[in-house]
Amino acid sequence: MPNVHGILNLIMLAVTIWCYWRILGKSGFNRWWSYLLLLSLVIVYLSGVFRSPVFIYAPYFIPTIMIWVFAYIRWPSYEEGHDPARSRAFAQQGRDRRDQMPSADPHRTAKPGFTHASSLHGAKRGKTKKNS
Amino acid sequence: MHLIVGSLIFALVVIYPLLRIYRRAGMPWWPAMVIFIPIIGPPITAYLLAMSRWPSHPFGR
Repeated sequence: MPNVHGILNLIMLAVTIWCYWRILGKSGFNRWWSYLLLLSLVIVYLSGVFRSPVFIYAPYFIPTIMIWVFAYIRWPSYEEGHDPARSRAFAQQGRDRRDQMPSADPHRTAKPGFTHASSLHGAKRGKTKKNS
Repeated sequence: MHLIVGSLIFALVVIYPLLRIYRRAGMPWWPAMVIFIPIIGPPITAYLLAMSRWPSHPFGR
């Protein structure tokens, strides 16, 4: 039974790390900060080894610090002049127009269809003029 | 019993900055109250924040 309890705790920790991964990405931070939660495992282990009375509360130390810091630190994606193209949170392949507010993007469509690059320049594909 | 007490103490310590985070994200305050559910409350709160669209986000995420 203690094994089941430990596995459930590990699953909850994994889910929490994944959630923090998304939250930190949204707010413009490096997502790898979410792995700080793994320090909770270290603290739990050490408090168990030394039979510390804080064993029960040990898993909550790191999340508490992270939440307090996150609440009061500036969020990079909310900063004016933040370049989303440089942020891994907004990294995308191909054309990326997320650097503009949706309302300010005149080319935004509900269902953007495929447009060949040559058609943007007025050229027709497969037809080339032969010089005689 | 100790787990429930620890979880509730954690919720009391964290509820104020959590409300601030929800407010900064533009979300209503009441989903933050889920954190008072013992043991599974904190992951659910993080899940709600992670999966919701943040209304005040500059890029609509």
